[in-house]
Amino acid sequence: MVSMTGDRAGGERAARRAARLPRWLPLVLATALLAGCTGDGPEGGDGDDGGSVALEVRVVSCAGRLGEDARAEIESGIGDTLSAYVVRAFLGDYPRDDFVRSFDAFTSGAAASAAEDIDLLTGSRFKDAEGVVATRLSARISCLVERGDVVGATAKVAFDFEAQQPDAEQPQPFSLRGRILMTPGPDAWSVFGYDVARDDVPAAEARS
Amino acid sequence: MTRRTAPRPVRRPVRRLARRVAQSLLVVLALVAVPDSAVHPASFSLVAVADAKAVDFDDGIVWFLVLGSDAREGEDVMDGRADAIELVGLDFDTGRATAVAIPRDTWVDIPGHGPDRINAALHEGGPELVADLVEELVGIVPDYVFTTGFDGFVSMVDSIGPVPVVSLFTFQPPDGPVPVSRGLNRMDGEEALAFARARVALPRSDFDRITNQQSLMKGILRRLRTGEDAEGFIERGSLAALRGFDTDLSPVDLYRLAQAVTTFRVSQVTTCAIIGTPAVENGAQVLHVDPRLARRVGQDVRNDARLDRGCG
Repeated sequence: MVSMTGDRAGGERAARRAARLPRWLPLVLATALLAGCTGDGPEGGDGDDGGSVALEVRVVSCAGRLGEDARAEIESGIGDTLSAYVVRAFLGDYPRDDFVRSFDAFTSGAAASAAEDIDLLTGSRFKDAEGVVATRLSARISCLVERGDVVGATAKVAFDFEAQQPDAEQPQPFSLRGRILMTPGPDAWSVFGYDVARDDVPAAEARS
Repeated sequence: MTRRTAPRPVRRPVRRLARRVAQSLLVVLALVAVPDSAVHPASFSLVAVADAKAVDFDDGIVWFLVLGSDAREGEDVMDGRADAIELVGLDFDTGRATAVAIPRDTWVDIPGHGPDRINAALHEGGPELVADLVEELVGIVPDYVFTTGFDGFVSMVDSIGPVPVVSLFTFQPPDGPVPVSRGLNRMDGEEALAFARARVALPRSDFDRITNQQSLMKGILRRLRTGEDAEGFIERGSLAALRGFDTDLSPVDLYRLAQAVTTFRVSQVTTCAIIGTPAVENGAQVLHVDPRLARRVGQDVRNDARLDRGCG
């Protein structure tokens, strides 16, 4: 579970801090630190920002035999990669224009594709915003295991955000839904594909 | 057998942004048209919904040789004959795909064995020998080879099925549990296997069987595309493929390929079978293929994975 509000600190700092933490903590702390939260555990991100939410990563199905330890490792590893992506792509310190760095965990081919889809896969449409907060972050994992080795996984994601635009009375909600395709590497999971829908809804309509 | 050591990354995007934006504009226009008393939005902004899809497997055209062995339950697939031989090209840049079938009765000179039907090459020298003969015939080097037997095929279809398959004929496959109807059928693994094997009941014998096999391949692609959003669907299919296919792809690359295949549309797939002249050799029915014709088909598809002139 991760508390995520992204309109303050920068992504690199959190990534560096996260890299030194125990296996299960980076997912939690990376985004909490990015959000400027001072907490140092799963509950640390609640803070004083009403927009905080937790990133939920759960293995819901697996083709092949998967032990409990491996399940936890998958959730942790995928959580690390997804949280780093969400932070760099949507949160971070606004106004900002460094969205292209969002695809560090993508394979080179997927990153090249993502760069062309940058308006869908990041918060670049809100580059002039005062801030963006996550209101829902969910990833349901389906994995493939063959002979005890994890081969790959699909993360079915539901990411909801709110962007506070300058001079706007209400924050503008937007969402990213769909599938993110991943394979494990020696050090981290990488993204080799995506099939997502981006929905930017006018605030007035969303509130009605 | 590895013909290509490692897949190169590729982009295969599918975007429907224009359509979605057009739909969104209609929504905005509809809102504008609503009387003031009904809606009082504080401000307007464009409703924008867009999709993006890309799967990184490889770039350019990748050629797969897909072999269906007639090895029965419990037999090694390499001990059987290759009764289905399909050279499949996927262009990861354009989304085009093609399947060129080499009839199993094609009469060839098998190195170290002598003249025989091409389907005997699987038993004589494994998938590599079949790949060499296909390369010699068509002039295209397969990058990867998949070989499956009856069990593996049935398991794979059942893991994703039922598969929607279009048949040109109404007939009863000799080993099939149910009759096949002309038009759309939904087949489980056993039904699909019987459909793919049936030959005697069909007007053009092996050529109609090839047509059915290619229709089945399209049906599998159709099913993969409709099922891909279901949780665990691609993973179940990939596991069945890992266990049911003998291939030189690593498990990770096979999984990536399974995901990447869903970016191809059935409407972009062209298929045909190399034709030849029926003959009798050593008392057996065989097919003499004109090498110039086979080469011409290879040249047709080599650079764009699209059949412009068919196989005839």
